Amino acid sequence: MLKRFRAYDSRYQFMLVVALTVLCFITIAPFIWVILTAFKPNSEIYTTDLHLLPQNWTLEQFGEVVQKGDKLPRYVWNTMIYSVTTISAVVLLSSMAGYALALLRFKGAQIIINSVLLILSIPWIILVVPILIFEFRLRIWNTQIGLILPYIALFLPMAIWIMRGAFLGMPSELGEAARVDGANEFTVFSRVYLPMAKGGVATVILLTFIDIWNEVLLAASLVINPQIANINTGLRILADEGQSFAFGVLSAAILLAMIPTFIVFIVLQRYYVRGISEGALAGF
Amino acid sequence: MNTSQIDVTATSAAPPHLERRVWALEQRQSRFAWLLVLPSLLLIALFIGYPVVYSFLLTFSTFTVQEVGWFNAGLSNYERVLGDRAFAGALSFTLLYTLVYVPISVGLSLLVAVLLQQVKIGTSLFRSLLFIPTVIPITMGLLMFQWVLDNNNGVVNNMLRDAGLGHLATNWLGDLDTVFGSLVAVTLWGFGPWILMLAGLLGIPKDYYEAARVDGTTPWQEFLYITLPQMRNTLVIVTTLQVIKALKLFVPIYMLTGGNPAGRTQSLYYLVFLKVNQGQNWYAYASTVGWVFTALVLGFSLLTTFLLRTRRD
Repeated sequence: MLKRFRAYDSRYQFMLVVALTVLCFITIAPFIWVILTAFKPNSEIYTTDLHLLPQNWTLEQFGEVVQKGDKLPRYVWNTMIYSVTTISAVVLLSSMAGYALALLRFKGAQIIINSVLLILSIPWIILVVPILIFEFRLRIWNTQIGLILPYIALFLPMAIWIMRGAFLGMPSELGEAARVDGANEFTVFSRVYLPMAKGGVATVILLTFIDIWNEVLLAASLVINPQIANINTGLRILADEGQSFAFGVLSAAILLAMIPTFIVFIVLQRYYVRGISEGALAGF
Repeated sequence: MNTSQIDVTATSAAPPHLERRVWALEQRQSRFAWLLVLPSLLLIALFIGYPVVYSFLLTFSTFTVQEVGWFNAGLSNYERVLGDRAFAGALSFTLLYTLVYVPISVGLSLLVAVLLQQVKIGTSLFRSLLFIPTVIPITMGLLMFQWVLDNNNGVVNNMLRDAGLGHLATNWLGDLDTVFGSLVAVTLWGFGPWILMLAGLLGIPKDYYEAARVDGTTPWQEFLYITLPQMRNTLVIVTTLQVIKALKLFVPIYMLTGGNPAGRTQSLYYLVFLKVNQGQNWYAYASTVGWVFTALVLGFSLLTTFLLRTRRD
């Protein structure tokens, strides 16, 4: 009986491994293709006789990325600026607001919490026209600050929700003890509670980072100057230039542009699942 | 502020000087709380609150470069949008995409999650490999496919020709017959939110499976009688998320087709984006499409919230 069960089990495991191997292959095959293409000379890319492995390994595509450009490195640099400024502001403001909404008692807190939840379900698309008009009038349309400010505002509700969640379970006795010892409200926030919310901060950093590196709608509407384009609209521009920025260079560019996201993911990956679960559930 | 004062004095039996101190503390805390919340509230009011109101009012108004005619339009913007062929096309394309994409992505993500839950060999390797699409910024993944599916130098067509199936080779993203399928396939890369599904699966108590195994159940029976019922809430949540994501289809259109061929792949989201960038005379129209779309999304969210509530009870 037990023996039959074991035999059944190992055959079952074998089937699982085969199925997963197929799924993994489908997942990484196009990615591997891009990696290998980045190391091929143009003659091996524009041909009907394609080979999987480069026949002559070369770094010329990477060389061309760097030569052309000031272009791709500039888009990556711009996106870094957008993410670093936005994330700093979002982390600062959302930990302040999240702390107040979770641990301080004040009139109107519940209304603010409900509004944040409501805002999370609003599609960004209806915000674009008014923000455009608004920015025309303030003369900040097509400037870096004109993209950073809406980014901060639009990523804040989700961040506040996550930070509030991070502060919510913390015991109020800690703050009261500090207050008895003569600490003022700001010290209670910055020295007692904030250091305990590191997990929340990491989650906010990771989610905001991912969102900015995937953001197209605002980047394409609020900025048309290629000098300050972000990576996504920038790659679209490069792809549209077609002949001058061809597949080989493009795949090298894609590989280089992925490095920052890879690094951030490797450092912060353990906050990812928790983050998307919290974010996903926020609307309910 | 005054009511909190009354509350404190009414409920506490402490001597007067202590009462005053408690009240002073509450006041100080409340003032500090507002200080912390205010910067966020200002930014949100400016870039979300004000735009929401403005764009809603714009749907009843006329907008030109010279002036805004508040409430000049009545319901004519809505009539124009609902009678518009571009809107009808975008609506039907978006709904069709949602109808095809959501069941497949939910099914696939559940399948991947169940496989990962059951497998005992190489679990972390499989997980890491399947995680790769999540790490890659979406636009780069899409550009990658633009080129894998390219008519002339794409590897897909090349493999078909090598296999003697050259007649099947086609301009996958440029041909009316294949563009829809290609878009669905490309957006399915990564197998949907299997991570959320896996999180749900790992939350099912292990005893259930062990107890079932003692009774000699097959994996299929385990899936049917333990996994599926236990996963009901996760499934509702993931389905809702995927529906909203599918309705908001935008970046793949922006990167891969630009709404073409023949304007047949314009999603609602992309239509608004397109009109906004056609100039200020289209602002009222774009806002109206945006609000019709928002009504659609909010209606759907409310429906599932309701479903979740009633099921929990």
